[in-house]
Amino acid sequence: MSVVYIVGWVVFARLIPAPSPGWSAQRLTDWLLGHQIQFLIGCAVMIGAAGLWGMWCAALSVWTYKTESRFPVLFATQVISVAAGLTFFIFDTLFWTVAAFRAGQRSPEITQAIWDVGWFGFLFTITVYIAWAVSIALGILWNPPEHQLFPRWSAFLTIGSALCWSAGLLIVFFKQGQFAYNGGLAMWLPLGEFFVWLAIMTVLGLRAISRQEQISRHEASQRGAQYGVYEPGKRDIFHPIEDSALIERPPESVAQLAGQDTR
Amino acid sequence: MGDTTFAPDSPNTTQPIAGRNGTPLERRMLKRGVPGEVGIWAFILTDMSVFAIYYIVVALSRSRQPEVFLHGRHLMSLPTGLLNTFFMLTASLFVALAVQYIRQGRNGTSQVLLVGAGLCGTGFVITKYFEWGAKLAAGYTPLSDNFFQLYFMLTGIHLLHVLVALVVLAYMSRKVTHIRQVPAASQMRFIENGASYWHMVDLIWLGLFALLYLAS
Repeated sequence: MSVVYIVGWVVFARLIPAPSPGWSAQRLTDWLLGHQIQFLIGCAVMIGAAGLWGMWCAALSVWTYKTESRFPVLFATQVISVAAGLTFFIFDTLFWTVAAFRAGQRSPEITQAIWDVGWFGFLFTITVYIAWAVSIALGILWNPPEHQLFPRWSAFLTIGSALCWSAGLLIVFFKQGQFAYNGGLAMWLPLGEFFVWLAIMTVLGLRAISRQEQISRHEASQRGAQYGVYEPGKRDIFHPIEDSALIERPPESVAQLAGQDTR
Repeated sequence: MGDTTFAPDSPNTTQPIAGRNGTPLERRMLKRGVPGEVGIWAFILTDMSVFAIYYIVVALSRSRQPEVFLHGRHLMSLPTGLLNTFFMLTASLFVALAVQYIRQGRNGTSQVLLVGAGLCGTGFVITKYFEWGAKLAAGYTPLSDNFFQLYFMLTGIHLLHVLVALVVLAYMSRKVTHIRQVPAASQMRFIENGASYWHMVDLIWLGLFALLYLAS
């Protein structure tokens, strides 16, 4: 997702350097018209990448869910925040696309207004990302130690990253300078930091998955095959299940349904 | 049984699963004596990297617009900056002493020191209020020019860090009241985390002071 998004941003949309909010409406329109088709391709690529993002976030949120299965508040917060964040992530590219779509055919002021909405959707909506990051961090910090699949330092890293991203809220005051929506400190730094954080969490997430597989195999050997990880191929249509122990058993009692039977 | 709940003697587990003391790396680092825990240093590293980039941007902006920055620097009140620096350094000293005294079991004295640090932090906030008030009254706002945009925004972000640090100090003080003579490992970890964060906030201010008040 990151690679596709960056390719869309840099190669096609040519948003480096990004247009300044201080530009006149006509200058912005001319810039868009200067590479309109390329820009629209870039936006299509970026929106395609954004669609992949939800899956990554889901893979991250299940670790919180694992240790909070009865009242999954942090998990719910993550899912809600990611849903909102993903909507805004797509929404900002959508507005840039619409601005470029009829650039030159409509008044430059309208083009610039739609363009500005896109940028504000990109940066000003950072609060849901902060809520998401904080709920991930709390989910890691509040893990019982035996379920510590993400290292505690990644929670602190996430909180530090959320602080960095929050500079995006300051774009509302400035049309030029470092804290404008094309500025180094309000846009490039949080964006760069976000991708660095994403890369680190991806590596840790892959390690958590392999460790969880080890745990599941260990549980399977100790407590029975139905607690283990399902080996690839056992459940697909080409290999019907032969081992009846791998079939999920229906709950035997109401108590088991309510989670009180922790057998 | 020890710290790990999942028995690592099963042949399927190739590495020990994180237990109460953390991952193997964290345990090794703890043996070497990382103040607080590894995590707070990850946070400090992240925040310091962000501020390092802020500093670089200030320096680059100065090189692009030297006359604007020179004009801005002359409007900075050096005595006020020095007073703020004094507050920050004194608070850091008090926090460091408090941590030492907590380790020695002198919880009462450490509480006094933590309150002292809190007062210094509050003094910093109040001084900042008056300093900003004077600038705004003189007609210099974040929208005036690039120097003032960076000045207000960066000192503002630092101020937010100080406010959080004051809250952390309050929690540290509360933690000390729960200590019975000698702190438990988790209590000491929390207190050292808070102290490390405070020192980071102090260090950030020193950088801002040098760049905005002193550098010409």
